[in-house]
Amino acid sequence: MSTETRAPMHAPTQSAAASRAEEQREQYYVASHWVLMRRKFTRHKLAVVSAVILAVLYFTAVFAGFFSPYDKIRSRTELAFLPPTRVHVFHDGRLQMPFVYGLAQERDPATFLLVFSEDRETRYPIRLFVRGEPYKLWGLIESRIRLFGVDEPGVVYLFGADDLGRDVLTRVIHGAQISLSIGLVGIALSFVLGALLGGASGLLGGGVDMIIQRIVEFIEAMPGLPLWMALAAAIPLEWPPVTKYFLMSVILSILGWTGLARTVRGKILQLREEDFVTAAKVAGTNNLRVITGHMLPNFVGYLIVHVTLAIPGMIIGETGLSFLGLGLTSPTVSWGVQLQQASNVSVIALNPWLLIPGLFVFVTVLCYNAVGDGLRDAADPYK
Amino acid sequence: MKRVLLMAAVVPLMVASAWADYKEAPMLAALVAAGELPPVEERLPLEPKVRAVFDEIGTYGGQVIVFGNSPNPWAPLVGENPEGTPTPIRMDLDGSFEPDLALDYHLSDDYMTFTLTLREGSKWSNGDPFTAEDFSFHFNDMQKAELGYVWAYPSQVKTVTAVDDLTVVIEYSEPYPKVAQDLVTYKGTDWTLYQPSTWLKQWHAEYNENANAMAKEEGFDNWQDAFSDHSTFCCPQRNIERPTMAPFMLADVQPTFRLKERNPYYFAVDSAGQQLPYIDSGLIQIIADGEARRLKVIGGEADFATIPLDAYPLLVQGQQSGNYNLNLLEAWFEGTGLAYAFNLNIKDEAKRPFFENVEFRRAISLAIDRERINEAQWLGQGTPSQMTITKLASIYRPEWGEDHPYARHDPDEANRMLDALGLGERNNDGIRLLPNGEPFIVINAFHGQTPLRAYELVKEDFEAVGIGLELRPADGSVIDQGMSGGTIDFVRWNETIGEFQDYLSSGGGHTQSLSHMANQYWIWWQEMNNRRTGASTETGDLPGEEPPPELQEYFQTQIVESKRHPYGSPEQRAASSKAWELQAEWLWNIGVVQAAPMVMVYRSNLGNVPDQVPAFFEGDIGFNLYADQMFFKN
Amino acid sequence: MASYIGRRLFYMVLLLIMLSFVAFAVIQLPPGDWIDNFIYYMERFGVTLDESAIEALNKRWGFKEPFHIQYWKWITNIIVRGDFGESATHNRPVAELIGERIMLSIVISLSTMVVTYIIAIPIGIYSATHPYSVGDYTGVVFGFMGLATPNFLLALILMFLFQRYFGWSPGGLFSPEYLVAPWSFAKVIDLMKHLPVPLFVIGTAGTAGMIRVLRTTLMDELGRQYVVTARAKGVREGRLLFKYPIRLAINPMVSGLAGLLAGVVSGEALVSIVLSLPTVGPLLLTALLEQDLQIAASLILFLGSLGLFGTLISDLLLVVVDPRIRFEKQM
Repeated sequence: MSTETRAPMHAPTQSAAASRAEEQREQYYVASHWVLMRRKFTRHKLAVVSAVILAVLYFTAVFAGFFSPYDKIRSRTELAFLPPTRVHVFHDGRLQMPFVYGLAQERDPATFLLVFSEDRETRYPIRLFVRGEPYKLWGLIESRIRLFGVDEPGVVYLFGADDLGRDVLTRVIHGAQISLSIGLVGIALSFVLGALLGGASGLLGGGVDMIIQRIVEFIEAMPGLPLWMALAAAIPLEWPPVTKYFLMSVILSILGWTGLARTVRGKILQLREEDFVTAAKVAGTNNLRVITGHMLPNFVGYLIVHVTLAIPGMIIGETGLSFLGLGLTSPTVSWGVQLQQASNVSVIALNPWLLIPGLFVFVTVLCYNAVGDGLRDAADPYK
Repeated sequence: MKRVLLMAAVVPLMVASAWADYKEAPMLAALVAAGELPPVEERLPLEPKVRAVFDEIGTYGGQVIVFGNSPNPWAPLVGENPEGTPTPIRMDLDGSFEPDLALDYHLSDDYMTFTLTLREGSKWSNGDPFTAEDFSFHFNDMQKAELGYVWAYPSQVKTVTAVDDLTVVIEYSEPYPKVAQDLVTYKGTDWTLYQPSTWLKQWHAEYNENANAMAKEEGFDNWQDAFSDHSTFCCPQRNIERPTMAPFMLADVQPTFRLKERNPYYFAVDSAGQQLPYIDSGLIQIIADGEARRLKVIGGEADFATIPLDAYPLLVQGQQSGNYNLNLLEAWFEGTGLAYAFNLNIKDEAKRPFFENVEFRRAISLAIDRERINEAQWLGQGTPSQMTITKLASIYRPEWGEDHPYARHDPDEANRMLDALGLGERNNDGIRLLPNGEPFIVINAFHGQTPLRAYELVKEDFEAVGIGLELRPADGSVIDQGMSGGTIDFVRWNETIGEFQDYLSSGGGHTQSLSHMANQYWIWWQEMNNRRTGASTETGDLPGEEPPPELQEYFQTQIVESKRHPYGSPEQRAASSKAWELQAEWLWNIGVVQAAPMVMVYRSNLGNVPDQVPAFFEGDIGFNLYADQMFFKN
Repeated sequence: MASYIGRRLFYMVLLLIMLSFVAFAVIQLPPGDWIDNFIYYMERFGVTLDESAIEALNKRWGFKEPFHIQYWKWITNIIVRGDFGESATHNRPVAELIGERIMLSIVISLSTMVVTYIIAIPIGIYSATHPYSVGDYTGVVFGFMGLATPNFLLALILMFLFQRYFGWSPGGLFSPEYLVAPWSFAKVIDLMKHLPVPLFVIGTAGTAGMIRVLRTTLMDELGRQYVVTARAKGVREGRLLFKYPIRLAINPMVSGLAGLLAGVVSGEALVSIVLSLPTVGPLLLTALLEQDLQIAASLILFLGSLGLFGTLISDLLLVVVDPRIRFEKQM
């Protein structure tokens, strides 16, 4: 904590004019707090790179229809478990624009597997901005333009096909839409609850604190699994899985606030004793002002960090719950659903490309953590 | 299925003259030599069961290692009894019935009296005599006295009498032609039919005056509690002291494994006079996760396993290094096919007329691309078929299944039929509109963590003809209530059914889907039938709703007519066939695929492994089933 | 101090009573009960249980009795006789089932905790003392591997790789040939072959949080005046680091103990399921799936009390470890 260095800036002054000037100065300092934070954040190279990666991921997810070459749900069973398409640039020893070969498949009589081979006679050049299968951007704008593709019946599955012959790349992109967003509302809710209850606990103390702390203990002692299962069974069947999962995450966020509440309370208890707060109090600043003006800037950084770190938790959580069959289920496309389908021995041995969504989970979680770290460091910009 | 006592008269003579002495496993011979066990002649009944082995006479020794999913009753309870307890009667692979634990059995011509004759001198695994008293004790001292936890006899049973040590007579209150078939299943075991009465009497105050003191010593309040605890019925059997008649007795129960050792008193021998089982012990390692279990089997750790077809490619690849053989068994139980049922009593008034209309069901049946589903889900190895009895059944007719007129894929015809039903209007997504203007979306609840590939393909097939289908995972109990309560539109049910199960089921079997998916009709018909037979004395309005005539005819044929005669009789076969004809005509169930094979994995040197699924069998073939004749070739 | 502990204990008992009630209620929230599930399961295979069989099951397990009677029976049996009831699925006393698994759960948790600390502490210290260096980034990325990969998948992949390339028997704790065998050197070796995957997967899942806590608190401490002063006075870096800052930075890890005790069981559940370890986690999951009331309720109560105890102990430990914290603040 570098609060000591800030303390002298809040030296008590009595006259109105001086206090106005002090306020202006303080505004400057608060402003510069953010500036400093940004500067500090950019020093964390990993955090910056991660932020860019995340931005790209979200951008791609928002325009999923355009970036993905195929439809996300329609099956093409004749392509089931097609390995990632090889993109060629040489044909007959000569350099070409990127292209793919045609496909031939047959069922192996010994293992019953579909075996694919390249048909070297036919070639399909990869084109940009092609007319592909129709899609609706954000469920509104109909379009057929896709970033890249090949002419039918050529197939370009850069990440291979899943068990129903659907393009894994397409599904990763569409899965990002759900995986990266579905828990956000829940996180926001638990954030608000945590900040409020933690704040109340720390500031008011006494009986309120005691009750809130006991509630925190109670909730944290309760294993989460039974709650999920009970909720999953209690929500009516007719509801679409995404709605159901969304609702569950919202309900459970009502229980998810305890961690933040404890952090906030601890922080407040600590800050209460700091010199600059005492100084502000002695100076006659009212309570609300002390909280918003002096204490809040000091731990707003922590709050932000808490959020950035809750998001990867939610992404991992979605995969875990989908694995247990409590989260989303196919045909909904999410990373958790894809990994659930990939978590079997046959896939790992024979179709490892179905694990690619796991790579995306890995990178995303890592990026969020790096950004969170960067923000945390930046939250103390005076060091 | 009445057996003449001729066999019983001839066999003992042969037996007595053929073998002066029996042979036993070396580990038992050692115990006999040490004086810890009576000699084999005294342990075996006077007329042991002579087991006809599948392939060859075996040799003693070895341990079979298998994997179980959990120490859990559910999976293995199905069809076969979990501890492999022998039943008085057994069905052979070819479908014929043989006395097994019993020496003989006889059902009176009016199907009212059933007589079991036991093998003289047969013993429980602790040496206690196995007598008729074990049967009457179950019925009289436990079931009727409401003592202990007892799986009751069928309600038609009036009396169970031990006429002498070897003769049990069961009397019925109404004709009960299927008793012999019943006793082939779990209904013929030591937790449903007979009890180790000598052993249990220790805790019974009427038979042991110290029972109360004993109970106190064991930490129970009274002898009833102690008795209940020791009598607690199976699944999984937890008590290693409790004697058994099975080829193997429980030696150790741990969270990670169950160990079984040979029963020195097992009542069967091979035709060379060797006491069975050949194998010394069975180790069932508990590996809860299916994938881990699969890895172990592929890695060659299991001596015996059955596995769903989708692991087949990996199994073929691992066959060399894993040192195992593979059998593809044509099967008909869960997971080897797919069929669906619409809820005829759905609460939604807009959908109900369609679900009840056979034209609608036929249109849906035409919409399903069975070939594609078979390729994607069962590696092309199943049989695209309408829902009917398994094609392995003796009464099967292709026009009920593979060649059913509505088992082909014809979406155009399906569309025309749906248009003709007044579903011509569609919304922007191409989904047909119900007369009330709502889009026609069918809720398909399924059990399990994730939908099968096939479910998603069926969904596509529905959508191709303009009917929406939403897949919803749910718990068993939720589905159960949703079906009967009329809130679930469409469920997967009974892909195919075996001939024997079809006969045995009372309100189950094929009609089971109807008892849930036409619940109101079923309730009505059942009560009507009960009043007719006098089983119910209620008067007044019948509950539920009166079923349409074809359904009444179906219930009558399937539940009443086909059960009036013993299994395999011409009358029974005719009635069963009639029921399946009705299903083929009215399509209450819509089939997709049947008879996809199961994969049996077994150690290369394991002998006497069955090469087909026994007709009485409904679930995973466990080690227990033919454990007494399997052996390791040297 | 004594009155503080007394008060905390009193609240704990209150919370436990509430917990027992909530636990029992939550399990019964889904419709139906164990027997309904059982019947449905059997019917899927074409076996219809006779009415008499269903009656026998109901009589045996009493699931059809009203909620308050079932609850009362359950809780009084626990309080009066320490009897947690019997599991319908396993047909055995719940206490036995939990008992035979809890030791392994604790052993696995403790050993994974060691793994966690071994990985997390060096990385945490290094990245706090060398912030924004390549080493910092590499260490952190490595430390976050476990957190960033779905555990169930990582476990499955590792199990597969170990079997394929080392021939190690996957899943469980022993190969079949050593399951029943008495303890021997070979059996220990066999056990060793089964431990790396669970220890690594569960262990690395916790490193990320540990590294973050250590890194941030240590960085804070290193910026404090006493460190600056010490450095100005020429105290060597190593000594400087280990004299106070690290000790202080370990404090938050002590409060992490609270979660750890509860996590003994819940944290490893998914991994244990995939690896088929006979720990408490999978027991709870299957009990919930099958609505095996006695096991599920007793386990939730049991885990809950572990969690409450953990909080209490870590609060008390903090007071002992860090004298700056006073009881008044804790309350």
